[in-house]
Amino acid sequence: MTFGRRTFLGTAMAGVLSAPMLRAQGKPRVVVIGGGAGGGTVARYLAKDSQGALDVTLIEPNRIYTTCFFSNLYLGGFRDFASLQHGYDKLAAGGVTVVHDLAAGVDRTARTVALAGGQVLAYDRLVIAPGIDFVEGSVPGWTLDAAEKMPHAYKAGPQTQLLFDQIRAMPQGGVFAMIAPPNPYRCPPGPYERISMVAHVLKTTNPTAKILVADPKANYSKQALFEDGWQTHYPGMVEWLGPDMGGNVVEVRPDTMEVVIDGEATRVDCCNVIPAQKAGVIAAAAGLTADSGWAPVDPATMRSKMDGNVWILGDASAQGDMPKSGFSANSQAKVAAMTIRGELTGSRVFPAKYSNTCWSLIAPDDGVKVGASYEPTPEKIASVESFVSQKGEDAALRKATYEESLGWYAGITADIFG
Amino acid sequence: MADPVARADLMAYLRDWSDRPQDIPEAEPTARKTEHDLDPAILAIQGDPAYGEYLSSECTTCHQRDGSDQGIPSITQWPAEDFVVAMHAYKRKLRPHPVMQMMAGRLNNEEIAALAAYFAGLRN
Repeated sequence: MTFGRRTFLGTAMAGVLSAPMLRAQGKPRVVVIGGGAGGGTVARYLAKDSQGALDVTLIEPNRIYTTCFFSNLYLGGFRDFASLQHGYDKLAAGGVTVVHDLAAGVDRTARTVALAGGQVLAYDRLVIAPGIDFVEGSVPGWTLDAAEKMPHAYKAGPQTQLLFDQIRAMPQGGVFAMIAPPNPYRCPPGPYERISMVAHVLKTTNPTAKILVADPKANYSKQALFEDGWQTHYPGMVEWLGPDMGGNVVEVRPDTMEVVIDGEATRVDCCNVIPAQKAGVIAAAAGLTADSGWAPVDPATMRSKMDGNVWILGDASAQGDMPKSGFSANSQAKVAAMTIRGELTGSRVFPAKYSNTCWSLIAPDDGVKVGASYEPTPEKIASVESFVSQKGEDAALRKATYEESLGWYAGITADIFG
Repeated sequence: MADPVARADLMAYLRDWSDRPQDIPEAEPTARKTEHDLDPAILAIQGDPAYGEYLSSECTTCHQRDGSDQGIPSITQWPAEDFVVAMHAYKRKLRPHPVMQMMAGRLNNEEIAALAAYFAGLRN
């Protein structure tokens, strides 16, 4: 056993030491950490567009990926859980080497990524798309250990299923509480779409229940649309407390299921804590994040400002005006794939264009959207033009917007996972 | 409907009066010359399909490459002229969709021609 391991390590080390020579002779190597909207897209496009000229490896611990986008629709009972899940078979068939392991560390001098399983991968260019992690201590009383009692459900998976079950297990007339996150965070309208979905479930199964939201922000995405929708569909059910009402002075007590807002304790039956967020931990471990907790990038390419051989995509990046969303990550990945391929194979490089649209469902067939186009400036990715759904739109338009969002989900997941 | 003239007339009528004309494919054998007032010089631009391929990646976040049209219309294999006319109609805000007005709004004439050239030739 010991001998076997030594032999394995010896072989692995030999591989690392001879890497520069191999690199000079073989195809350029791109390693991608994270198989979500950013990482999946960049890996797929690099392999597809380079037609075998690049060696593309994707590192992702999960064999099945569950999208965070549309997970609110699962909570509301509009989609089943399996519809959020996607495998990597088509990426692999498209020429991407998919390694199901966790990236444990990055040596930027040696240009290697160490995996939790012991493997070491050499790269010429590295893409890091790890999504988010939570800022410890941002909600007093809450830790990751408490997430079994008070789920975050903000990384899709078992947490989402737990929250689904807890909503439906609430006693008649019970209280659902949400601790909303401070900016910036993944999916700006996400918490408020979630409130809408919870209200939809409670309206039919538990109509005397209440929803309490403690929010550190005075304003939030699509606020007028959500407030209007809640009043129309769920009158009297949602109580939203902004910072002027103590929504920014919050403590939770998971053991007794209490939420303390501005010193006043309330017993609740279900509590969704969405903490403050930062770039996925591998970005900080690699020394690529700023004091903000996010990883700054060059607006024209998505290249890290800290290392010319590294690109950062999606939620983890600090890029300017784009919201942290699956759509944004997918959009950024295409600029990254184009620039990386251009650098490694000499293919044509075109001016970067970015875009985003976020759809939200307020009630059955009542969909709204917000979106913008973006272009790089020397300082940041800047919003060029934007639009948002309007209050008072007719039911047919709202239904069409919802149906359009279903089409978008089918489209973007095909674009990411093949 | 057996009579080809009556069939073509009906298709033309439906296309003109549909709430969502973008969902009606402009394809043979029923397609008719699209009526528009677009500058012939714009229509004459020869698109660069390689640039179109890069630009198309922005479209395929929503519009599927395989031509599926659930909730969002297919944009593959349109005749290039129809594609250019439709995109300029969004750019000029003659067609109503806000996402498409925004997307088309920042594309210049060459970029629209490039996309038309790429999507016209895209096969599954």
